[in-house]
Order: sequence, then structure tokens, then C-alpha cells
Amino acid sequence: MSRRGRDSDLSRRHLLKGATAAGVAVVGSMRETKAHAQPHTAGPITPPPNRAMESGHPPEQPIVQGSSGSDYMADVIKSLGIEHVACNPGTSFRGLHESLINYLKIDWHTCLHEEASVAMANGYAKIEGRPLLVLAHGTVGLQHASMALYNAWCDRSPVYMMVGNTVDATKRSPGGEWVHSVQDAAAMVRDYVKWDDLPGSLTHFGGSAVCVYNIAMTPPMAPVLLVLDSEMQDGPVPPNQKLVIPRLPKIAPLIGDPGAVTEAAELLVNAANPVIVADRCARSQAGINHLVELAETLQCAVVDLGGRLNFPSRHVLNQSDRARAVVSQADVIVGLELENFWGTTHTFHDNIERYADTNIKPGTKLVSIGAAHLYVKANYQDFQRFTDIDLVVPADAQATLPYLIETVQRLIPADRTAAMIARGEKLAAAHRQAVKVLKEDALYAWDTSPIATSRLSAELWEAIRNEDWSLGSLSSNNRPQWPQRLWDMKKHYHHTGPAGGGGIGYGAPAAAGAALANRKHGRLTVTIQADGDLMYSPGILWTCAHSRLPVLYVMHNNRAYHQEMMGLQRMANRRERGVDRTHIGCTLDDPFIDYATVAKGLGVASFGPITDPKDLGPVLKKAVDIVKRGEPALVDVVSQGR
Amino acid sequence: MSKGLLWAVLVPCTLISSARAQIPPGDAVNGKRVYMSVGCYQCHGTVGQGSRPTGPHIAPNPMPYEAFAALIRHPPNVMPPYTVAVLSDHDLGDIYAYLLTIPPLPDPQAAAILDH
Repeated sequence: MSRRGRDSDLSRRHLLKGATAAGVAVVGSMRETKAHAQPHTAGPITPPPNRAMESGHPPEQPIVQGSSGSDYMADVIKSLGIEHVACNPGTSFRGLHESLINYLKIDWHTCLHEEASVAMANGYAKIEGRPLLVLAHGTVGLQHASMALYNAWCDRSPVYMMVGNTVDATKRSPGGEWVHSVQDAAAMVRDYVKWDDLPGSLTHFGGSAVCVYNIAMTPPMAPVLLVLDSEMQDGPVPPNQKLVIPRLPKIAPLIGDPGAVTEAAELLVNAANPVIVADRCARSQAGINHLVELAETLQCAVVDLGGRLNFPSRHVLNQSDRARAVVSQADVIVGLELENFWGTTHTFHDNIERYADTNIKPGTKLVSIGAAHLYVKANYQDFQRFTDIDLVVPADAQATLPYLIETVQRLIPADRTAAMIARGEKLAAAHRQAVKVLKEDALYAWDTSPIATSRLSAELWEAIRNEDWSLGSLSSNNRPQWPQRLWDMKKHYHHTGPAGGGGIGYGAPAAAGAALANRKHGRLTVTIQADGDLMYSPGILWTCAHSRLPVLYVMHNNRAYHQEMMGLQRMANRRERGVDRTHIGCTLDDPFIDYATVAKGLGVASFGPITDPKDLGPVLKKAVDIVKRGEPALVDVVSQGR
Repeated sequence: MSKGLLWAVLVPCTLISSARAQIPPGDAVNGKRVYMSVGCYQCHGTVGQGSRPTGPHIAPNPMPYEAFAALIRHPPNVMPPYTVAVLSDHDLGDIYAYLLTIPPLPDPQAAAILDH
């Protein structure tokens, strides 16, 4: 930390105290004036000169400070390698805000809602592999941010968040600062952050800031929260504090126990039909490359559930479109960061009497390798239903893969090689057949208006396929998964999965965060943006314009919350009441939302609404050209429900 | 064409034509209106194209009417049951008439971008 000038006993809090006293004096003075004025007739009253206001600051009170606690905080934040802030401003962290913009001069992204700040940080982290900093009020800001934190928690994403709070009640300004203060700010989100702290001193802050960073970045990654006392930020560094910047250690993810890895390898090499199911396994290109090497070594089926891009979409061993078929034929299934193992091995029937069938053969061996086994909380049920698993390896799957590959290569019996090659050829043939069926599926409703989601995805792919592109986010309802099925996805940034907690309002700001991460690599960021999702935080479009984020939003404008409407239809017909009123509460019409106009009003170049599929390709080309120039753009596509 | 393949083609065609012969004459225009108003399009799309997570293709070339009607009245799994109380036989026939009007899939050449 650099000390700019000698510490002074002057402090801003004393200035505030003076201002408050002056304010009280003004009120008192005006009351006196009003009392004197009562005998006079009604009309404008010119108050007499107020000596308390005009005299300014009492001479004994300091008016400037030579050091600031939040400058030290900024130095610690810099030491973590954090390059960006996403934030909606608030006075409870004004001290740190000022240090970050004037002292550290960090890259700042103004968000119009704290939910957008956190979702933006989530989208950024999943591309870049490390966090940006989110700042918010400890009360109302954190309340706004809560759902996005839950999404990040379920998504194993390292969101790094600091919130302001005025701990000492005697230092709170009357009124607003009281309703924005709280005894235990982190309490409301403690169920879905991995760790939180309320530092009691700057030295304590330094240690905690590094500590929470390590905790966030150690698999299973998760959001963390620091609550910062506003007095500690705003005021000078207390005398006799020897402030140092703690060292940021290198973090080595936990690798699976060697014995357990060998046991898993033995099961894989001796299986007739081993299947690997990956969900949030690959957090970088290395993760994808490792999984390809393992699958090619074994010539086995891989099912990518899409929490991240784990396996190239066009690799012949990718059997994701045949997931149920390969799972049902498997004799060994290895889940990699697969938290919904039960859902992978069962089919659940949402009928009047809910029940489930197993999808797997009796005796199928199940192996789970994942960091989620290392850290579980009880209240929120994101850990999914218990599954009878034969071997649990609580470890980071990506870090464990090289050891699993090495062991598999060593253990493959020579007499199994031919059978493995034959297995791979069968899987490749099945993959090619699935692609053929997929292309035929995409032809359905090809020329229809509203525009088919297959056509939308195909036209967008045509517009970007020769660029270095990234699908910045996936909306939770993107269930046909046309991009994952039609596009040639092989880089870890080609997609990073949907909202972990299924909370709506993730897609648009997460794409903005992805665009921020992709920008410095010169990548083009696009997203297929659900209409309902955008309306949770449309202000993110302004952030994209303000921050010059190169991202293309292609609206999947189906003018409804379709999933909910389908659920209502089932309820209504079960009860024989008919579905003619199930649009109530679910449709986004009367009036239709004009997303191109919304975007234009927020400073984003826009096109549409596009209703004729023949118009889509040319418009997307224009929009891509805008984004390639470094600006955001939006194309409103009136589309089929799914 | 082998004899087995010939049977594989002819038998379904015969079944379809005999099933279509039993269809009550339907009003495709009203059928489209009902198809939209009772929410078929939610899961199966506005032209019966279907969608992987929500429902299969039901047009063009819909299944034989009897099978179609049986599925609507007593659907398996998650499809909402359309009993007579919520969908009359007359309207069901009209929906089927609408599905018969859905044009065949385009020539794949018209969607050459799918090969990229």
C-alpha cells in the first residue's frame, strides 16, 4: 500500500457529524422562523440568514484525510488480480468505490440492478476462470443480488462479492443509514455462499479478502461474501497499523485418491459398455482435452449434460443425443461433476401419482467423481436425490482426469483393444445416424412464422461460424438445445451452461459478463436470449452500451412463460376444466413487448421484430458486423415456443 | 426392392389410408383455431413440428386418426389429457383435418446451411 501523505487526525466522519449538526440547526432555525411568521398573511417566506450553514465547518473538525482504509482494501483487491468491478452504487461502500475508481483506477461496469451485477460476474467467471468484484449495499443491494447468488452457488461459480454496512450504530446517519444497516448482513444468503466474513480491522480485512478468494476458487467453486464496515472504508488508516498485503497462494485442486482412481479405471477397462456422463466437469480447455483423451482411449460413449461444454459436440463418441439409449445399455457409468446422478439413471413421471422408473440395467456399476461431494449444505436442495453409487471419489474431476487416463492406459488388457475399437466404430455410426436425424428434425417448421427455434439457431450459426465466437449464456428454457446440437462446439468458451439454480434473469447479464471476459481475447459473444429472462433485468442492455461490450442478443421472443403455461395446461386438463384460460399469468402479450425499441432506448443497436424466417439471415449478418466493431446489438426474433 | 421392405412400406400406407377413410370430415380452418386455443401448439409447435423436450412431431403426415384420437384422450406420461369434457369429438376431428393440411418438409437443399 502506498501512503499518500502523512496520516491526519482529520476524518470524513467528523465532517459528516458536523454536517448533521448543521442540519439539525437548520431545522431548528426554520421552526423558529415559522413561529415568528405565523402572525403574517400566507405566502412565500424568505428565511433569515442561517449562521450555522454559512459558517461552514467548525474549525476544530478535520476536512481532509491523508490516508484511507479503503485504499488499503483496493491494494489487496489488486493483489488478487481482479480487473473489473460490476456494481450499482451505494453509500455504504462509497469509500471503497472512491478508492477503486480514483486510487486503483479499476475498470468499472455500472449495473442497474444488483442481480445483474452478480449474474454478470457469474458469466464472466465461467469464461475467464476467475472472478471480478461485485459491490453492493449490505441490505437492499444484497437482497436484490440474492437470487443471482443462488444461481452462482448451484452453478459452482466463483462470485466474489463485497457489501457495505455501518456496524457502529452511533456512526449511522439518521434515517436512510439505519434502514440500510444490519446486524448480520450475510445471514440472508449464508445458505448459498461458501464463506463470509465481517472484518473488524484493516488487517483482518487483508487476511479475509485473500482467504475468501482462495475459498471461492477451490473446487467446488462457489460465491463468497465480505461485509465491509463503512467506517473502516471511509476513515483514515488507524495509527500504528502495520498493513501488509497477504500473499495469494497457488491453489491445487484436490485429486482423487489413487486407490479409488485405480478402482474406477479397472471398472472402465473391463466394462462392455462404459459410459461417461459429464455435467460441470470442464472449466477450461484442458478439461475438454482430457475428457477427449479418456473417451478415445476407452472408445466409450460420452454424454454431455451441458452444465459446461465438456466434450466436442461433433466428436463421434459424443452420444448426448442418445443419452437414454447409451445409459440404459451401460454396465459402468462414471459421472464427472454430475450432481444429478439420480436423474441421469431414472425417468421421473410427473403424473397425479408421481413415480419413477430406473433407466439402467441391474448390476450397472456407478462411479461419481466430483468436488460437490466435498461441500454440501442442508437447507437448499440443490444436492439432488440420493443415488446408490458404488464408488464415490470426492475430488475435482478435471484435475483427476489425467491420473484416470494414465491408469486406464496402463490397465487396458491387450486382448480388449479390438473390442474397444469395434465399440468405438458402432458409437461413431450411431453418432452419424443421430446427426442425420437431427438435420431432418431441424427441417420441421423451417419456413414457418413464428420462426422455428431450429431455424433461429441455424441462421445464427451461419452468421458466426467463421468467427472466434462464444455463446455467452444459455437461458434456462433453452431446452431443445439446438445450438449444442447444431453448432460445432469444441472450445470451453463456446458455451458455459445455463443458470445453475434455474433462476430467471440470468441469461442477459451473464452474456454481458461473458462478453467482458471474451473482449480482451477478441471473441465475438452471442446469446439466444429468452424474452421473459430479459425483462428481469433489461437495464443490462444499457450497461452493454455504456461499457461497449461486444455482444449480440438474439431474442427468442415466444411471448410467454411457456414452461409454466404447459404446466398449467396439465393441471387444467387433469381437472377437466379446459385450457382456454391458462394463458392468464403466463403470456407476454397485449401489448407485445417491442424489444428492438427497448434496446434502442437503452442505447443498443437493434433490429426487428423479425417474423419472416427469410429475413433473419441478412439481419443477423448486419448485427454481427456491429458487434465486430465493438458494440452491442439486439435482434428481436418472434419465435415458436420451443 | 426386397419383399420385406415392400411390406414395410405398404402395410403402414394401407393402415393410414384406411384410418383416414374413417375420419369424420373435418374443418381445417376451425381445426387450426382449436389447435391454437386448446394449447396444442405449446408443446407441438404451431405446425405440429414438435420439440425435443416438450412433444414429438405430429405433422406433416400425422398418425392414423384412431391412434391420434386415442393418444389425445388417454395420453401416456406428461401430456395433458384431453377428455370429451374439454375437447369435443367434433373439434378433435377438425384438429386432425388441420394437421392433414400441413405441407411436407422442404427439400433439404433449401436448408443447406444445416450442412455447415
